[in-house]
Amino acid sequence: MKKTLLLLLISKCILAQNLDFTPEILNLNTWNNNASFKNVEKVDFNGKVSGNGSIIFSNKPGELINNVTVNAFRFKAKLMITANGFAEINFDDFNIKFSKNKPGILTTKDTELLPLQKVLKPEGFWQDIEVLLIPKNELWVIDYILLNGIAIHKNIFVSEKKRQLSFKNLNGITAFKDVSLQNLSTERLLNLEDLSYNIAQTTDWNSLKLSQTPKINGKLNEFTIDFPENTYRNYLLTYTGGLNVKEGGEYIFDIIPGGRVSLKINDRDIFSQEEFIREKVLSYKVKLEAGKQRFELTYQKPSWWTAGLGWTVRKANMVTYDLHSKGMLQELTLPGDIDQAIGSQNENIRSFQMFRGKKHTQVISSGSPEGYHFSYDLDLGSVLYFWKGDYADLTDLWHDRGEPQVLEPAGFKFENHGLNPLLNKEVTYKGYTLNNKNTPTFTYVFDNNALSNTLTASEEGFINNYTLEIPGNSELLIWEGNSIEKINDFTYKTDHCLLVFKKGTKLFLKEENDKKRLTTTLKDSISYEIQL
Amino acid sequence: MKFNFKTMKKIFFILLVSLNSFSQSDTEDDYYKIVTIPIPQNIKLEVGGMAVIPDGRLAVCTRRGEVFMISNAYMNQNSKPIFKKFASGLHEPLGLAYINNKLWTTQRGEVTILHDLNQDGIADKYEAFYKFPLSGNYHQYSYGPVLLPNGDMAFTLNLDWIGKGASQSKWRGWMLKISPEGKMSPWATGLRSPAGFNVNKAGDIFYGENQGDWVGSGRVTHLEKGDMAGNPAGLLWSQEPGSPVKLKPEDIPDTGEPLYDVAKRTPGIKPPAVWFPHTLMGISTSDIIEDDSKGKFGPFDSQYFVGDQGHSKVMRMFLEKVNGVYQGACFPFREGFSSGILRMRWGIDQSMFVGMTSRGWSSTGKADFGLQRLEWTGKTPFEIKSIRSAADGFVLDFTQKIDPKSINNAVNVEINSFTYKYHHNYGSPVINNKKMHVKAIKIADDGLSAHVSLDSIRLGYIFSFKLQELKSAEGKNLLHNTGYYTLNVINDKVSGLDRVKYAVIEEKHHDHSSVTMSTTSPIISEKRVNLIPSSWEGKVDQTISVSTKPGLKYSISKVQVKAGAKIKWVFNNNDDMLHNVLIVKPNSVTKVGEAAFNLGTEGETLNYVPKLDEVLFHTSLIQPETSETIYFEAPKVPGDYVFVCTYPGHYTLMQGILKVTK
Repeated sequence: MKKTLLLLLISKCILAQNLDFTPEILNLNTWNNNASFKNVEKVDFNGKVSGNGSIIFSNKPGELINNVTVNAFRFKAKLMITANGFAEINFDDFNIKFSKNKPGILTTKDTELLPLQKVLKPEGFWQDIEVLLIPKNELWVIDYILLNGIAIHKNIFVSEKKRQLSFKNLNGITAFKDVSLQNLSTERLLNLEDLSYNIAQTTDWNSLKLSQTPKINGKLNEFTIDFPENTYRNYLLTYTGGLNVKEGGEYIFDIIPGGRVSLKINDRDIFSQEEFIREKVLSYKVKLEAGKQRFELTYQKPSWWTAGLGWTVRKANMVTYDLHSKGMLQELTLPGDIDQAIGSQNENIRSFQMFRGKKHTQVISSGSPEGYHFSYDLDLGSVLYFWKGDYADLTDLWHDRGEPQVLEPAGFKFENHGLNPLLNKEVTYKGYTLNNKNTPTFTYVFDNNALSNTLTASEEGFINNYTLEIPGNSELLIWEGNSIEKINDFTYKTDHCLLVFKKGTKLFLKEENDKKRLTTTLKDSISYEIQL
Repeated sequence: MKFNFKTMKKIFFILLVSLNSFSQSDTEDDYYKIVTIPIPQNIKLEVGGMAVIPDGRLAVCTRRGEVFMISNAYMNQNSKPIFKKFASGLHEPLGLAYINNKLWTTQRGEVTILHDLNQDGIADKYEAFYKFPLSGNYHQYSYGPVLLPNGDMAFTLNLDWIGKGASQSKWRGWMLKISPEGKMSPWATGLRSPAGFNVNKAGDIFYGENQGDWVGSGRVTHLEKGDMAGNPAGLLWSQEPGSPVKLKPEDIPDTGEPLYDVAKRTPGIKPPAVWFPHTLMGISTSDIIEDDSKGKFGPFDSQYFVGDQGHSKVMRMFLEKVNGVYQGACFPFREGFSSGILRMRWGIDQSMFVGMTSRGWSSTGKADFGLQRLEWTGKTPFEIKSIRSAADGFVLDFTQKIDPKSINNAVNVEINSFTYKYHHNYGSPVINNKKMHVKAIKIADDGLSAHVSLDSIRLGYIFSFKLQELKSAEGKNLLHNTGYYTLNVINDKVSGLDRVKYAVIEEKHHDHSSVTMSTTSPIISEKRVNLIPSSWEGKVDQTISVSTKPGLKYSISKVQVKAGAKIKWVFNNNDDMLHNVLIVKPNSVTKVGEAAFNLGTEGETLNYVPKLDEVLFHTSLIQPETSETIYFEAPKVPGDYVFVCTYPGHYTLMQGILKVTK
C-alpha cells in the first residue's frame, strides 16, 4: 500500500504542481481576426469593457485564427464567459467548447466527450485552461485538459496532423487573456554521461558516518540502483558523472527518494534533504547553463526501506522524461479508487483533512446532489474548503488500513479562512442535526448562548445561515481573502466566489494583516449565498 | 446455506488431519452451529460495534461510519433479516452501546449520542458527548462505551503506530471512565491495542490485548484503578492531573525478563489474568463477553468468550480469583467464522452475535466482513471445563464423567510451562520452556474432575495442558484436548494430594526435562545463506526484492527466474508483524505450512522453518521494519515453486509463485 501511495502522489503532484516558467504570451494582434475580437484593458463583472489592453474581447460571434502550426505543446489561457456565453478553443482536429451547462465538451474527429467534472467558476471569473499534447509511441495524445486545475479530460488519442489554433465566440460574451502556447521539444535536453558509483556502508541506519567495510564502486551505462554485489542494508551511494545540458535554462527535477538525497552540480549544493522521505515527490528548480557540468548525487538508504530513487526532468519547453532506469521505482500498482457517489441527499463523512500543511482531525465533509461540497472543521466551526464538481475520493480513508485517513476533495476546491467565525470568542462544539435532505446544522455554545450554522446547497452554491439562540450582538466573520470587491449593494466578489446578501444587510469591509475582511454584526440570524 | 455447510465440513476435514485436535467422530459443529446472517449486497458491513436492542433489533456500526438497524437478525422461520441505515458519516466508529434508549458510539475523536428526534427511523441529531484529542495517526482507534454498574462508561484508546507504539495525544494507551454528566477520569494505562473489554457480574473490568511491542503474546488483563498493563507509551501522561498511575516511563525496565518478574519488583505493573499463547490459541484477541445465560449457551456458565480477529475464532476463558487476584485458563472453543472477529454480543435468545472485519488485517476467514450467530445445539461437548490452581498443581474439571483408566499414567497428561519476554520488541519467543512432571492424580468421586499433582510449580508462568488419551466414561475423546493456565497466585486452599496414595506411573526420562529455549535468530542453516557465496565472484544473475503489504501479502505475487540462476533475494518486512520467507517445492506449501504450525511452542525458536526436504531456502523470522538478504541458486527443474510466510495463520494467504524457467 505504501508503494501504491507513492505512485498516486506522483501523478497528483505532476498535475498539481505548476511549472514555474514565464509563459510565452502570444500576441493575439498578429492573428487573423475576423473583426469580432478587440483588445480591451478590463472586463468587469457584467461584461462591460474599458480601456485598451491585452485582453481579447468579443460580444458577437466570430473567430480569431493563429497563423502558426504546432506539434507537441502546452497551451494555457484564461477565459471569461458570461451567463449565456459560449466559447470554443479550436486545435483543428479537436476543439473544446465552454458554456455554463457544459463546460469543456471535447470534440475530436472520432468522438464528442462531456467533461469528467463540471468545475466552471461563476460568470465574471477568469477560468484557467491548460492543455498538454504529447507524442506517445507513434501516436499523439491529449495528456490532459485542465479546467481550473482539475482534469476534465484525460488521455485522449487524436490524429497526427499539424495543428492550427483558433478561438471562437459562438454566443454571448467571450474574453481571453494570458494565452500562451509552448512548443515542446521531444528531445531530451539534459542527459547523464560517464556515470560511476560508489557504495559505502554507514555505521548506523541514520548516520552519515561510514564504516570501515569495503567500498563498492564501478562504472554504469544507465542510472540504476540495482547493484547485486551490494549486501549492505544501510549505505551511502554516490553517483558522479557529467550532466550534458543541451539547452540552458530553468529545469525542474522531481526527486522520488526512498531515503535521503542530495545533489551537487559543479560542487555547488543544489539541494540536500534533511529527513528520510518516501512516498513523496520533491521538486527542485534548477537553473542550468548549456554545456557539460559535473554532478554528484548522493543517496542514503536506511536499513529497512527498499532501495528506490526516481529522477524526472521537466522543462517548460520539453516533454517530461525520467532519467532513472525503469526498475528504480520497483513494481507499482494502484488500488482502485473508492469514490463517494451522491444520491438524492447529502453525503456527510467525517475524516481527517489536510489544511495549510496541517492535519485537522475533527472534520466533516458534506457533499450535495447539487454538486457543491464543503469540508468543515468541527472544532473551529469553520469551513476549510469549498468545492464543486465530483465529491470525494475516499481511497486514503478506506483502502486497506486507510493510513492517511484523509478525504480528498475530488473537484475544484478553494480554501476558506479557517477561522472561528465568532473570532475572539471561545466556542464549544455540541453536535449537529440533519434535515430531511441530510443537510447538517452545526451547533456551538459560547457565553450562555448558542450559535447554529447551516450551509444549504443551492443552484449556484450555498445558502449560509448563522442563527443565535438568544438575540445578541456578536461580530461575525463572513469572509477573509486577498481581494473582496463590492460589485453592487448586495454582491461582493472574493478571490474565488461571489457573496450575495439580502437587502439591508449591514456589512463592514476592512483590511487586516494585508487581507480583506468582511464582517457583520449578528443580532439573531443572517443568511447569504455563496456562489461558486 | 448448503454451500456454507459444505465449506465448513471441508475446513474441519483439513483441521482434523492437520491438528489432530478433534476426536474422530465429533466436531465443534456438532455442538455449536454458526449461522450466517445474509448481508444485503450493497452494504459493506465492516463491523466496528454491535448493540443488542431489547425490542429484538441488532444495531451494528461499521468502519465506514454507518449504523444499521437489523430487524429479524434471529431469522425466525428462515426469513431474511431486514437492514435499515440509521446513521452514516461517522469516523471509523469501533464501539456501539444502547444506553437509556439511545445508541452511543465512539468515533475516532468523539463519543457521540445518536438521536432520532422525529422518530422516522433515521438518526437526525449527532450529539457530541465527549471529545478525544487526536494526532492524525491511523492507529489511534477509540473503543467504547462499556456501561459500568454505577452508570459511568468505560472507553479505551489505542496507541499510535509509528514503527512502534506511541502516545502522540493525551490519554492514548489508557482506559478512561466518563460519567453520564461528561466528567472524565483516567482509570489505567499500559494499553496498546485494547479493542475488547468488558465488566463482569462482580463489577471488575477486563481487557484483551494484542501481541506487539512490550506484549509477548495476546492476553486478558484485569484492570484496576491505577494499573499499568504493560506497554509504557501511555505513561507519558501519568503525571497529569487526575492520573491514578504513579509510574513514569523511565521506571520500566527493558530487560527481556518475564513480565511477572518485572512486575514483582516494579509495583504498578499488572501481569495478565490469562495469557493467550500466540498462534497456539489465536493471534489477535478482540472482544470479551461473559456467559451469564445460566446454562442456556451450554455448560460454561460464568465463563468468558474471547474473540480472535486473525484466526476468525472464539476462544473460551475460565477465571478464578485467588487471594484477590484473577487468573485462569483459556481453551479453544469454536473456529471457522467467515472473517476477522472484532465484536461479540449476546442475543436476546442467548445465542452469540459475532461481528467481523478483516480489512487491513487479514484473517483465516477470508471474507472482507461478516455477521454470524453462534447457537448452542443443546448437546454438551466433552471438554475440559476449567482448570483451577491447587497447592501442589491443578484441578481439571470436565463437562462429562471421565474414564479413570485413561488418565492413570503420567504420559497421559502432558504439561509444559513457559512464558514470554517483556521488552520493547514486537512479540516474543517462547522462553524458559520446561516440561512438568506429574507425580499423582486423584479422580473425584463424581468423576467430573481430576486433581493433578506436579513435581514443581512456577509462578507467573503459563501451563499448557494436553490430554490426548483422555476418554469420557462413554468412551468419547475430548472435543479440544488443550488448555493454557496462567498462574499468578498458588491456591493453598486446595490442599495437595497424598502423592503416595495417588501416585501415577511415571514416564521414562528422556531427559528433555528442562529444555530452555533460545531466542529466535540467528538460525544456522545451509538453506539460509546471508552472504554472497565466494564462488559467485561477486556476480548475481537476478536480484529480487520482496516487501510486505498490509493484509498478509507480499509486495509481489509472481516472479520469474531462470533455472540455476544465482539469485539475491532481499526480504523487507515493512509490516507491523513478524514474517519470514520460505521457498518451497511445487505443491508442497500446505504440507510446509501445517508442519510449521505444528512446531507449537518451539515454532518461534525455529523461525517456523520445519525440517522438511520440501523447504529449499528460507530467511529467518524477522521483526517489523527490518530486512534480510539470502542468496541461492534457483532450482534446476523448471516449475512453479512457492515463496511463503509460515508464521502460523499466514501461509494460506501470504504466498507467491517463483516461476523457474529453462
